Amino acid sequence: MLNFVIGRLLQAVIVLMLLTLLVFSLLRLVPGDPVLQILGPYADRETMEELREQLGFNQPVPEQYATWLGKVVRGDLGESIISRQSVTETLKWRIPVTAQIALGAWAVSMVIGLPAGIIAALNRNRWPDYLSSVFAVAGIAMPSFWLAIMLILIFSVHFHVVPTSGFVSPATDFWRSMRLSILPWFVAGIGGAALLMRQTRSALLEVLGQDYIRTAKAKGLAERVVIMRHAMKNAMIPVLTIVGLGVGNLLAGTLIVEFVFGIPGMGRLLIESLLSHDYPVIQGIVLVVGICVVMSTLLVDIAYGWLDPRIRFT
Amino acid sequence: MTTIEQSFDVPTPGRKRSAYILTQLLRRRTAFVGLVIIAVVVLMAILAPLVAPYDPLAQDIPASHQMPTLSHLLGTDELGRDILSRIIYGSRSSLEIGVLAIGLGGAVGVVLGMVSGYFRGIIDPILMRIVEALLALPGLLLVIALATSLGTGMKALIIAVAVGSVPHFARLTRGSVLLTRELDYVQAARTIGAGNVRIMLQHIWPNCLQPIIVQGTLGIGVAILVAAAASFIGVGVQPPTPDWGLMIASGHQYVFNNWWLSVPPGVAIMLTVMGFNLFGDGLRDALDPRLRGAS
Amino acid sequence: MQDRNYWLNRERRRLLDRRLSRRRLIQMSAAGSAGALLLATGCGGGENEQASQGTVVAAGTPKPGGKITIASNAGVSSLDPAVWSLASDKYISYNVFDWPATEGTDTDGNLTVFPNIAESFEWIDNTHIHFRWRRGIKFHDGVDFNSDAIQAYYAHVLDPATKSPRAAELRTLDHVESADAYNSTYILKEPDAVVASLTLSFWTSCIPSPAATDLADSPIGTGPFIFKSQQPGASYELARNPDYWRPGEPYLDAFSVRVLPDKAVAAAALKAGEVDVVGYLETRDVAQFKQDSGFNVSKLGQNVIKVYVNNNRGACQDERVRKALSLAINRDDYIQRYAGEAFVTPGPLVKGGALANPDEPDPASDPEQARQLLAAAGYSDGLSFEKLFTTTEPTDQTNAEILQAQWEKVGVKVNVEYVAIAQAGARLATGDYELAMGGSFGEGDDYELRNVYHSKGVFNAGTITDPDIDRLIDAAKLELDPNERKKLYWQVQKIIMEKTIAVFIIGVPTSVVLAKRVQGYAPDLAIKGLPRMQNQWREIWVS
Repeated sequence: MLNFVIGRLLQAVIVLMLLTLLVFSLLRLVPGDPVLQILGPYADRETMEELREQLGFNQPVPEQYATWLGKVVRGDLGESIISRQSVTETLKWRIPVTAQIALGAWAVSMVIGLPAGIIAALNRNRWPDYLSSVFAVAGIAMPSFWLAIMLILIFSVHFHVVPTSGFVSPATDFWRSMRLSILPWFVAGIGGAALLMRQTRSALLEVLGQDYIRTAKAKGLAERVVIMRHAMKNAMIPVLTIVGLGVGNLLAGTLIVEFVFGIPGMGRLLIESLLSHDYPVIQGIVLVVGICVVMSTLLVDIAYGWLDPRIRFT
Repeated sequence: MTTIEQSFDVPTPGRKRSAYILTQLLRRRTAFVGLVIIAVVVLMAILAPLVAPYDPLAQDIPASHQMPTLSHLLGTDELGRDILSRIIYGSRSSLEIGVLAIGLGGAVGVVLGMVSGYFRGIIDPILMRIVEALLALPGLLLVIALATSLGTGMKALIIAVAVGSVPHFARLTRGSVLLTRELDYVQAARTIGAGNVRIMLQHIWPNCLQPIIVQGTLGIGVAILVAAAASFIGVGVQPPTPDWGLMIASGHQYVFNNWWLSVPPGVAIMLTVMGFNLFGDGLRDALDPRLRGAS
Repeated sequence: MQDRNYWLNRERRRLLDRRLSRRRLIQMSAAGSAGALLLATGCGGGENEQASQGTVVAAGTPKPGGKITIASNAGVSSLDPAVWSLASDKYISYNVFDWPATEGTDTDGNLTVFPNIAESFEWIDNTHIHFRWRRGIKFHDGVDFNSDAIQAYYAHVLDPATKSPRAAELRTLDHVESADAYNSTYILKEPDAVVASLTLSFWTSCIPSPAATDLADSPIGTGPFIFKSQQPGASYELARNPDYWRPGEPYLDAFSVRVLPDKAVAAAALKAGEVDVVGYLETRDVAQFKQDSGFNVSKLGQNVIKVYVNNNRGACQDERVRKALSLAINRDDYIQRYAGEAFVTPGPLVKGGALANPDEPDPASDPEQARQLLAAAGYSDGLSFEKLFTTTEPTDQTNAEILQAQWEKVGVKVNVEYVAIAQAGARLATGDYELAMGGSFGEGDDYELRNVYHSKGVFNAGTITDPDIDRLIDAAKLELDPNERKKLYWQVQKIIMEKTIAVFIIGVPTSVVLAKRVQGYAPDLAIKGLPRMQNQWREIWVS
């Protein structure tokens, strides 16, 4: 087991390195002159040269990468071109905001997806199954930004149930924060809920078709006991991994939700920075998200390996 | 990505097998519905000039912001262009991106997966780590990240979405290859002395085909969604091209008063992606031996 | 200029005649790039106040207390006056800080510069301006305001090591010398008559406390409101400054700024009462609010949407081609697109603005003549431009699409490139374009004249070289009488219009929509008055 964990850890480290390489090359591949971007149109030649020297653009590329990586490891993600503030500082504000949306969305997908999947599996080919399946297919196919706009139109503009947009930290005003978060959570979580519902349904169905379930039923155990004790546990393994691996999609989902709902998280900052060519910020955010995904994948792999002995020895 | 089960048997005569798959498919209502939707969208795209009542780029400002009427079935947008016509032409944009991106990404991904799975050795772990690194940046995030270097516009978008789909195809293919290469007849071919390329093409490739086709179908749906989101943000297709994501974006400023600017394109995206998803699911079920006979 | 007493008496008179004084309003610009440049067509209108048709807010006595929420179209780039680069920074900063002087129109409709925290100023010669600072002003941290703060600020921003965007904007300022605590002299590198109004005003010269250490997080100035807290990118809170140097002001206890970049959402929030003031709505939405009795609509100014033409590249070197481009435009369509509120105007001195020339004829529309001119110039088979760039703002996209379609009708094909608004200024300054579509600069029409049409202008970059224009603008820089300067500008405009140096599409009014409870904002038509309000809320009160 220990060997397994160490092996996975090493792999994760390599992946992280490759990720940093990928992120680093994003800036270097940009057409145009980043220095002109930073200083604006009025700059004279000497100031430009000075800045170039300072930012290390005159060094050979591998050296630039090494310097940048060194800074990153120490937590220095550079300075925003627009605000001149440290990227790390800015992200400190933004990450909790995104986390709030992401966690809420995750909860939504669990709360809707799991029970829906279980009900669908238990009522196979009857109307609850069909209903859930329709919902699942629609949920996966619906563009989330469109759903967001539709929901704002209905719930905020027409019925005034929730405010139109904005963000308040729960520390400042808990209930207002909750009201503002309902729609974003729902929109960000619905895709995951749909996927989860399908996975749960098919995993549970697969398990229910197994011999040992039939044996348990033959033994005379009540249906409920059968499900609880035997089926669920085993069905949960693949489901759990899907949940863990869905972190990437979850973060991508919160990105667009932040944009439409005007939530000042990492996602919206990323889009704004892209439009204003604020490369250090783009790099910082992409790196943070990438690291999150790699970490969660690692955890899932380890958990999976621990739960299922067959996998450990691949 | 959803897991795709593999079915292996000794290759059977082609015609009998495809006929079987086809009947399996058509027996499933949902898959059939999906196929119909795809067919409608493809036909819309091909026959757009014949089907669309107006030129999608023809502006008529005095007639802008009109509600759906008999002359404009879905109303007019902020520049007086007919929304129905733009929806019809928009299918071209979505299909073009979806098919080209998945085609490109699929091709690259499959080759990577084949090489990785067949030759193993040191290439395998390296390629797989690269694939994992790419996977760390999901969908829209990767498109945005690549937009810094590639810029905006349809070409850049297609490349970005293609890059995003490479890891999925690579892993899938690699999985198939790993399983196939252990089969008896493949070993046999090796012992006889058949060349690697020949083995890959003749024996391994046919067995990879099924999951790849399923992944491709589902992938087109995902590609269309990601492309629409990118266009919505402003880093994808540029105006005045009729594109569903772009239509939602430009209609967004007026949506609270003129809902018909944003609702139809969203419905169009949803139905199209649903079509690909339903068909892909049906395909997967039809090709999965364990679900044979099950409804 | 005038002597000290004049200004003191003026202040006294103003305080007594509160109700009758006129408010000038500046468009809360939607966004801007380095240099407060505004290329979005939906914004600008810096100095272009007009005999406003906004609904007059009920007169009444201002009473203290209350809180309002203002919508901002973007987050803040920085709260540090030396660093900020976006127009949306004004919402907060113009209330936290003060600046030496403001430009406005006096009772005779003449452009003048009014002192602010400067008590008075005068030109000693054409490269020396002497300022006398007001006494008794304190920063929010208790430090006294005097020439120390002035010295510290200008030394900081003019220092190349700071890399402040202000340095370029204050190009003509060499340094500041202070004889004592309340007297300073600004020394210019070269004569520049407009420097007082433009370079010593709000954008470039908000004075922070010399003792403040972290301005980006806690900006400390002398303004009517004190910065309290922020949720970066989402909301900002400010509270009343009880020790503000203008007695009686501000009336509000507090105000907050909410960032709502989405115009549709901002309109919805306004309607729902979540915010009280929005200054960047689409013309259509504004028209709807005009009908709603729960809101007041106040005209801010106007803005000319135009196409900057690179006169020294490609087909546009031929005056006939440029003229054709202007004739081909169907301006009625544009008027309709702005819900009937837009108007045809020559440019860049927009009709109704402070610098407008009432005798300058409007640009004409005649597609047939356009085709003839193009044929005469040798393009009877059509003409194709590689790049017209404009910003990614939805309103610009719409305008560009209309332009594309209209030009296509006369055989001119153009490919539109959409550039983020923060990049637009930089792009314009490279001169690397054939055509660029945008709106007015937020700093006023004369800013545009000097920086775009003058061959040495920052945004000219070799696109326009006309010796007559240069000569006239140079003369204007030396002309200390604003009205004579205006006449020189009129001559420049005449040349621009005759030779179609740029293509002026349409004039667009900009308005701010206020909830009924917000009082004290509307311009009063009765008396032309005083310094316009630069998004300052010190005179606002709630009913």
